[in-house]
Amino acid sequence: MQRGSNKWISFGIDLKASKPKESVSNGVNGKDQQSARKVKNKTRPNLNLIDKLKPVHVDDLSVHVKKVKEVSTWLEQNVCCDQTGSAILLLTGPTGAGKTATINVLCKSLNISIREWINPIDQEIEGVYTQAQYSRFIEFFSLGKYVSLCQDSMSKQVLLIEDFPNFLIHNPEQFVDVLEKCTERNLSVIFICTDASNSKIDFLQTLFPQEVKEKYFITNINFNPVSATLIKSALKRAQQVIRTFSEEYKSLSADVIDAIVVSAMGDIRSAVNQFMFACLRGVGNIPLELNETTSKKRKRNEKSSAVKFMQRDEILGFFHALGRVLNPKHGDNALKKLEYDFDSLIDQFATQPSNFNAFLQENYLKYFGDLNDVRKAAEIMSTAQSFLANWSERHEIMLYALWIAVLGLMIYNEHKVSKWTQIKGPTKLKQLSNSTEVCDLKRTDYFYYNLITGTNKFHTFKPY
Amino acid sequence: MSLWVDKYRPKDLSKLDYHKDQAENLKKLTQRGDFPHLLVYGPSGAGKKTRIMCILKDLYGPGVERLRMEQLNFTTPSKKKLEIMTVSSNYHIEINPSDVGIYDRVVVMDLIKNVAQTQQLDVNGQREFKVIVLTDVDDLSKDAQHALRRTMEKYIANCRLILSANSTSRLTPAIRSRCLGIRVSAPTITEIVTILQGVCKREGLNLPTELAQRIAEKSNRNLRRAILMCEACKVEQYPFSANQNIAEPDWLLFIRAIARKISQEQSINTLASVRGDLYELIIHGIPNTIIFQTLVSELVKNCDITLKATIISQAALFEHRLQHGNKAIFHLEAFVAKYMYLYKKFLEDTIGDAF
Repeated sequence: MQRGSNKWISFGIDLKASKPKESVSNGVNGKDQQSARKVKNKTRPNLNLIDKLKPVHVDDLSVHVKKVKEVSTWLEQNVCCDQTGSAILLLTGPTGAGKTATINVLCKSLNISIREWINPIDQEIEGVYTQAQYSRFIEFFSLGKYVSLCQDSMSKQVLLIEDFPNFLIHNPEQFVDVLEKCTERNLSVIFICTDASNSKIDFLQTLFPQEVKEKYFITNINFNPVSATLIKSALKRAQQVIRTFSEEYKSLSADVIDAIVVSAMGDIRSAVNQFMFACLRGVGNIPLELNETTSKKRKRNEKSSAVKFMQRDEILGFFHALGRVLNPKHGDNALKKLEYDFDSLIDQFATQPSNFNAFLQENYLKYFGDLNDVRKAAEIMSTAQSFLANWSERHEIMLYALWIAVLGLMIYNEHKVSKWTQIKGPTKLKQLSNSTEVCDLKRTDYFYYNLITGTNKFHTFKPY
Repeated sequence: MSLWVDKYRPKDLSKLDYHKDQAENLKKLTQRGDFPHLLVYGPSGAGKKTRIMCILKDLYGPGVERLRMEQLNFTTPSKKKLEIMTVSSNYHIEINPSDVGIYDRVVVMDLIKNVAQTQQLDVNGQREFKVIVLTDVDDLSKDAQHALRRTMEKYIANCRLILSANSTSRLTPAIRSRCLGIRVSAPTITEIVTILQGVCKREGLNLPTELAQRIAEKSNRNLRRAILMCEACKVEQYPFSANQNIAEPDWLLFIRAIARKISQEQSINTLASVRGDLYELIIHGIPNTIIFQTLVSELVKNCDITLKATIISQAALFEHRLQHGNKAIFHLEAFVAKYMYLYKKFLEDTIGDAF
């Protein structure tokens, strides 16, 4: 128990590992602990490394210079100048691309104060929950015009929304009210949307469709993952910061930094976190052999060019995965083996086998170049579908359907057509409901009804 | 204006045109005032619905003919709202649960519970039970059938079910054994001819026997279709002539065109366009089995006898899957692809042999 908590704390930035007894937390002495921490912070002001590592100047940002320029131009044009009318900026990009940091740094340098929406922790009893959150969110915008008293009254203010309130997940249509409010009150608002793999929480899709963007003149700036060189230079800067606190942190060798850069996959936040984690290892009462094994592990993994146990999950988009299955790449060797990690591929879509299969079925024809291959693939799809027949069936059985369909399509696609084709969604089969007037007729007899009454009440099939 | 099919539908068990023995038995059944759950099955257009209505009329009197359409709303446990059309009188309610697809279980359970829990008030000595008519029960999902089985037993005191199906093969044995099965077979050609002539006579028209014969043959022993065809002929041309054109259903011609397309060119492009056509059929409510059967019989027509056997056996395989599966297009497409492959291979082989 003691050991376990010890580990957790050592991961934390506050270096409480040096006092492991404190880590046993329970509700009773929570307050004492807090005060204890305060005292400790006073005595050792250098502990909050994460703040130290935060970029302060525009030059410190690990974002491409032109991107920063783009954002700062927007801020200058829309916030600094006395403008009339609202200004809405939408920042998009993957996690750890430096979106928030860019805004923070730029606003500081331009003397703009930021008023950020943080989701309140609701005390309401459930039921009135949605309304309360909604009205609070609207209220936030209503008050957005007034600069805080603590701030320099001359400075401009922007509203920042990164923490989208939950009610928007269920009722995205209410978001229009918010945007209306912004325009009405001539606010400058910045929305930060992180790319999401799950379509349900993909605010970019649900809240900012193209027509909304056009209607409210929303500027969209998309951030790319941070490039490896930029991460590396950021970590170098971090090394310099650390050297000033050399009694707590050890500086890392170039090998370790390289491994971190690779495994971060363009996520600067993950890179910095890993960096700090690695630094901490050398400190205080952490056993030395543990230190050794980690470094060994790193070195070993470096050959495969990534830090394995801290690697970010590779998130495979739905369409990306479809493309992989429909467009399989065979290895260069004579056997033409497919080199994929099928397990992880299947795993990603284990929750929606039926949907994935429907997508595959809709699109596979375009990727095949031979009738015989298509025949095999169609049979495989049919076999797979028969596993999905009973929707209430146990989930493992539905997984078989996924396996069969994915492997079948990949293996049988021997004469691949390699050209770009648009992926289509599965055809919606919403059958037309029974007409109220002629209930007794079967659908197969509607044709005669048309013929007899001389109307075109029902659809007629036109053989060509 | 009402169609002849509705206008000349027999309203009484004693007025039925064929299966008179069976009508006699049904009459005896209703005279007792009580009966078990019924399962009426037989091919489409054989008169299942007519017989069900006759039974109801015998039981409750002419009150059952005052029908009203109602839209019922159900909510699934996952809070999805369902709407379904029902036809009901004071004594019975008719519903087609398969209209709501996989949510049929909710509809079946809720409906029966609702109906069965309201006790019939004793208005001038009426029956103490209500009747629920479920149509197309062979399209019910397994879940719904299990739910039906339980509710059937539980509420037998104040409701009776009349199930109507095309075939019993897709019903679970549990349901079959809880019902009294009544098979309504399709009328013979001669019976159809007589009925057609009777209908025309009552309309004051003169129908030549040859035409009636031709209509009866074209209708596939489906009486409803035969009468509709006859009326369509009348609209097209009257007085009738013996060899006038009888309109065939558009979907039949459509499927025939698909079959022609498949036989003409076997390629991926054709397969893609066939898929579009099949989707059109499915979306407009042509039952999957009918699509499949018609397609197979049309495709097989231009085949050599050796090829025929293989294709039929393949068709059997995919049709079986189609019956069990939930997305017909997968199996239809697989069959078409298979056919294309076999047909093309056969053609190549025969051409190869010729040289």
